[in-house]
Amino acid sequence: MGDFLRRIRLPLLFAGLLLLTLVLMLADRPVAPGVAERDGWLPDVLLEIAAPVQKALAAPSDWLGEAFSRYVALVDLHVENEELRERTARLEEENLQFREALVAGGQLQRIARMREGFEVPLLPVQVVGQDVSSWFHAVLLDRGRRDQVLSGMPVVSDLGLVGVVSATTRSAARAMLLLDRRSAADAIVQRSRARGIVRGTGTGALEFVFQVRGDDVQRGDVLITSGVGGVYPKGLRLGSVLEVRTERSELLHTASVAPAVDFGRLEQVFVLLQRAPTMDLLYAGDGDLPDDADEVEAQASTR
Amino acid sequence: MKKAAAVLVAGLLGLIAVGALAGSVPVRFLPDLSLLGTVAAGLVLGPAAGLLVAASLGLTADVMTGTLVGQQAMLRVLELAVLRGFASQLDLRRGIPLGVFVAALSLADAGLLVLQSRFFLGLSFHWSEVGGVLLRAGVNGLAAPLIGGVARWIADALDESEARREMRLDTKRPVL
Repeated sequence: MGDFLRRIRLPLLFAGLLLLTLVLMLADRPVAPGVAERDGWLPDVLLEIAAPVQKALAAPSDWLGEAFSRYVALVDLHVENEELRERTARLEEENLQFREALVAGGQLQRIARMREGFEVPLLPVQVVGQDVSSWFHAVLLDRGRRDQVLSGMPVVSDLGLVGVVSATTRSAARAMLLLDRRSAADAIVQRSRARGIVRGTGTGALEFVFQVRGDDVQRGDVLITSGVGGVYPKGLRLGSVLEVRTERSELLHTASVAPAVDFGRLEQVFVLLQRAPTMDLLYAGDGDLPDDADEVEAQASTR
Repeated sequence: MKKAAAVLVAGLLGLIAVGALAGSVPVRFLPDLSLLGTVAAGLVLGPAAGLLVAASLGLTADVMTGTLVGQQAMLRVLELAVLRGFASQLDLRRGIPLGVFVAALSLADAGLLVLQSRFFLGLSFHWSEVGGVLLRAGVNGLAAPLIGGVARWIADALDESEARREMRLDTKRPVL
C-alpha cells in the first residue's frame, strides 16, 4: 500500500496542483464584465511584499531617468520658455473671452454649484511597479486601504482616465489600466455627443465601439466619459479618435483611439476617493468596505 | 529543500525586479521570469519540488500582473511537466538547445494563455499582438542559458548530496 502511494505521489501532486489552479481561476472569475477579480489573503500578502520592494528597486532607474530628463529639459528650456509664454498669453486671452461669455449667460454660478456637487477628494499616489505581462495591463500603487483606497475607485492623471483600482491591501493597491482588454468605459464624443463604449484592446491602444447615425464620429474627435454606469464620473478625457473603421454590414462600428494618458510613463496618478454605488454592490463582502455598516449606509444615503 | 527554497526566492526576487524595470523598459523586451524560473526549477530540482516552485512562481505572477489567480500557475505546472518530458530527449544543460526550447515554450505559453483568457474571461486575440509574442519568446530564449546557469550555480552551492561531502585524503600514509 505504502509502495503504491509512493508510486502515485507525483501524478497525484501534478493533478492536485492542476485542480487547485482550476478552482482558483473559477473562484476568481470577474463578477461582471469590466470588473476585476476579488481580493483575498494571498494577493494581499504578495502585493504587500511586492509594492515596497518594487518601489526600492525602481528608485535608481527613476532617479537616473529624472536626472537625464532634467538635463534635456535644461537644454531646451529657453526655446520651451518662449513657446510657453506665447501659449499662456493666447490661453489667457481665450480664457477671458470664455469667462465673459459664461458670465454674460449667467452660467458661471450654475457651473460652480455643479462642481461642488461633483467634487471628489483626490488622493495622489505613486506608481511603484508595472505589470510584466504583455497580455494584461495593471500597475501597482503605493497607497492602500489605510489611505481609504478601495477596489472600484477610479484612477486618473492630469491627462485623463487611467483605470480603476482592482485590488487593495493595507498599504498598496493594484489598478487595472484602461488599456486592459477587460476594461470598458461608457463614452461620448465631446463634439457631437455620440455615445459608445471605449475599451482596451490589450495592444496598447483603445477602441471606441458606437452605433452609426450619420457622420457623428470623425478623426480627431475627443472622447470623454459619459458618467453612465456610475463607475467613472462624467467628463474625464479618454483619448482622441485616430481612425474610423466603417463596415457597412455591421450595425456597430469601431474607431481606433489614441489614449489621452501616456500609460508607459505613469509616475504619479490620483485615486478618486469615491466609489459608485454599483461598485459598492459588486465589491460588497470583499473585505475592503468600511467595517461599520452604518457608515456604508450613510455613504449610500448621501449619494 | 534548501535548494528549492533558494530557487523560489531567486525567482520571486527576479519577478519583482523585472516588475520594477517595466516602468522604464517596454515589457516585450523583458524576460518572463516566472516562466524562466519554472524552467530553472525543472533543470535543477526534483519533480515534486519543481512542481511546487513552478506553481508558486505562477501564483505570484498572477497576483502581480492582474491575471486570474491560478491562470499562470496552471501554465507553469504544465510547462514543468513538458520540460521534464523533453529533458530526457534534449540536452538542456547546453545553451543553444535550452534557448530554442524556452523560445518554443514561450510561444506555447502565449497560445495557452490566449485560450484560457478566451474561455474564462471571453477575451479575444488580436493578430497585431503576434509581433510582441515572437519578440518576447526571443528574449526568453536568449535569457534562458543565463538563468539556467544561475540556477545551476545556486544548486551546486547548496547541494546536500553525499557525493558533495568534503573528503580528506591522507597523502602521508604510505602506499601499500
